[in-house]
Amino acid sequence: MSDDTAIRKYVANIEEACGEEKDVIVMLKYEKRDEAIKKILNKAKVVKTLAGIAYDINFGDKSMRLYRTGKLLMKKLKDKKEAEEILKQLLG
Amino acid sequence: MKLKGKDEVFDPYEVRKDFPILDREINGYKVIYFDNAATSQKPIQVVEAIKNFYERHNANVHRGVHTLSQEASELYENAHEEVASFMNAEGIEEIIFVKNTTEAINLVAYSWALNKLSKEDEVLTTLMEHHSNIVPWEILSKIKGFKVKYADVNNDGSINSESLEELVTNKTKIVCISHMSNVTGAITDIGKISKLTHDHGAIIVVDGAQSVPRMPVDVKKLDIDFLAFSGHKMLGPTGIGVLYGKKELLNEMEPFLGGGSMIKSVKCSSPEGNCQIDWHDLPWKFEAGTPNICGGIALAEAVRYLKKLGMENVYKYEAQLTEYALKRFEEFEKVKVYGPKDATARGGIIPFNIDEMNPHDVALLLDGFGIMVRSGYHCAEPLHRKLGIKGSVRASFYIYNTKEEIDRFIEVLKGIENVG
Repeated sequence: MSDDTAIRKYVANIEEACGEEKDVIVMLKYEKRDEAIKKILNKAKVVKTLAGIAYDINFGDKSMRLYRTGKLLMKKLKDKKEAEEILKQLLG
Repeated sequence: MKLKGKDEVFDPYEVRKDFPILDREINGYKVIYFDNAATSQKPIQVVEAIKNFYERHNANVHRGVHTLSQEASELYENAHEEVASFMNAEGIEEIIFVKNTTEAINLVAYSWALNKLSKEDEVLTTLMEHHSNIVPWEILSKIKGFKVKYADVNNDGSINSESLEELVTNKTKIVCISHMSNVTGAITDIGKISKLTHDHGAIIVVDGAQSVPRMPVDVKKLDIDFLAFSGHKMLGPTGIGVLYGKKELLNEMEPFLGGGSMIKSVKCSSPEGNCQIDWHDLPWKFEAGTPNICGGIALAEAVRYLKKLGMENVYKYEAQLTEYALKRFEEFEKVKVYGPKDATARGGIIPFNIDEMNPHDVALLLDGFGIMVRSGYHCAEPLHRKLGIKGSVRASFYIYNTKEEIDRFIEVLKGIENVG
């Protein structure tokens, strides 16, 4: 399975959020979200669990928050492309 | 406008029965919809009007002699009348159906300003505007060379009247201003500004996207030249909006879009010569092509719904909710709320931040509890920069929200404040 295939399989939408800092919000596919969350948690380092509703995770030098609802907030990125590169690694 | 915010107005629990979407559960919680400044939910009456049109009356308007076309035309024209009476316009000649507020403002820019303004002129707007009331003027200024000036805002996000008064000059040809901020909910005294504008020989264009759904707006009383608003923020469907314009102004304007339905005749007498075109009467001159017929009819149903509640009651009820929410926000240590302190000086729109937390993060955490709010700039980047914030979380209320929902929102927010 190529990296792009992983994004197609698990990701419904990637949105560059408006705001001062370049944040990217990733919506995982509803029916695949549990599987995707498991994959991400296996590859990233969990820094903190927030009352069972979200996880603060680190991957490389990037910090993110993964929500049980199947959303991922990737903070301070260059652009959407960078988000896609990280997702390929997390979900591949 | 100041009204007492304490009176009982209508029963929101009765209103909620008309909005089946509010019974949904999201992420295991009953949905709390606090994103009304972005779009409102739709009552069954509006949904039924859409269904009824397509099941019983669907046909194109104006051109057909057959029964269905006549019925559709009558419904569509009546929809204009319903909207006209809602805002005390002279008649349907002054009500143009467009796609949304943005298109309505663009119509004024390209049909009025493009022909009337030159490079010596000035357009005056403010720092509190939605991008839809900034970008069209900036684009046009590049074509025509006129200057766009921005009146300042106060620390609470409301208009700084002194700044506005200083910037209006005899060069000013248009003052374009929001009646209610889509970020802070701050209400602008349009009556006062329209007088100031007219005293300088300019016209006033009012962005009513947030005010028209939330408070009484009387175009005659406020002496508004143009008023733009969207149907989807006031119980109607998406894809339908309104430009109100004074008849004398609309009459002297050239159309924005050309095509079918907006002409009386097109006479092309010789192969070399241009055709002679006669525009249709108002408002059809500005509604080129097949319009959003069903959207217009459904908007009229939404207007009927609001009329039944009474717009003064809608305003009072929102003020009650806002006053209650602002009081409860005082319980936080790390939460900063923006906008006027007086609930009657703002609509039911409350932006806030929790300490240094990313606003998208707060919105995503609330979503986990079934609470829908918006985060970011809310299409008003200049205002956020002016307030010195990198975005905000925005909770916005409407007729079907309750104090009980605010209580749950506050309790969830307390948990979020603690986990950070």
